[in-house]
Amino acid sequence: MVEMRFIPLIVARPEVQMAIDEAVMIARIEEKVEDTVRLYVFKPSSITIGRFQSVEYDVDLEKCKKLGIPVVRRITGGGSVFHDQYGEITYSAVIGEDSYKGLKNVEESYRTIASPLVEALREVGLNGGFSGLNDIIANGKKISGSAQTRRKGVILQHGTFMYATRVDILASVLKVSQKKLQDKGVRSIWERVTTLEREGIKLSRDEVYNILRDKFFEKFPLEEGKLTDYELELAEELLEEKYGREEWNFQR
Amino acid sequence: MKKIGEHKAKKGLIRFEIEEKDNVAIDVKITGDFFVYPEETIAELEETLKGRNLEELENLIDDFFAVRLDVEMPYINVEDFKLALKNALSDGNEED
Repeated sequence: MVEMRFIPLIVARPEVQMAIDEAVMIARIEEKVEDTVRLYVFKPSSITIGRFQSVEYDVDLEKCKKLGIPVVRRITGGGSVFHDQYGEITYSAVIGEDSYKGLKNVEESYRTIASPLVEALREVGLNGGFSGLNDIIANGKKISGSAQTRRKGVILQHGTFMYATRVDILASVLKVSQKKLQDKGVRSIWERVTTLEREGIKLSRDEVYNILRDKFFEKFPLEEGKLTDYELELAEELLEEKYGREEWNFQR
Repeated sequence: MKKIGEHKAKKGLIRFEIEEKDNVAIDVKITGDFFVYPEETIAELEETLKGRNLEELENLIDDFFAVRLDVEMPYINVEDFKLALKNALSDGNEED
């Protein structure tokens, strides 16, 4: 089995996190680094929006400005996400499609890569499972969502793990269309989303981080490493030319 | 006049925003929380539709995807794009 790299917790602004994810993906495509898993936290609390989302229709920008919540566009499709500095840990994985069985199939790859999150839920006594293409639910409510892109045989998948996300803030900054809520059979985000805390499990960030880290190590042949100078250079370029700019973030 | 329509596909919402003048789509924006690989496909589709008559748009969407065998759209298909377009073009969804 191939060796994989684990990058320990990085706490940083959203544009930095998105720049690092893409930098790792580019370096992996160029075969300059191995498959990589990392865990990170957004500081300050942030919103990331999907590649095709409309800032006007999908985010309450006024509210974000008032609360000091930056909005950054991902390279991955999917929906808008509130990353609570005090209640959410994000994972990302950059993996070659050939590195594991089943990664070529989109649905199977989501499940393979995010399976440590389901194991983490089990570890704390929750029965979690996948729902639809890219969500993980616990007691019928969404507790994690993932998004992925593929380029030149390499997958970038990143996603959330909500342990104590302030769902009231989440519901106030994200605009979710009525059509979507109807489709899910709920009236509000409040009914649709949960966290470990809301399920009665109170854990600190460090405790959650350690559980997630252990579960990713159980699933993948990881060894702790760090970002290379090349990746850091790429990330800096991406930060300046893309994720730090309105032309990218507010393009649609 | 701006015409806006949404369609909720199996995975993801697709929204068409069409800036229309004299029956021509001056500008077309496709937004939503769906997934398409490669992602550049959506900007290319928008370019294909810009400047064309409203009646042509549906067929143009068909033609566009018919030759794009590299495009992968998990849980959505060409019909979902056409439904979002139809919703935008129907009177019930118009906005000034």
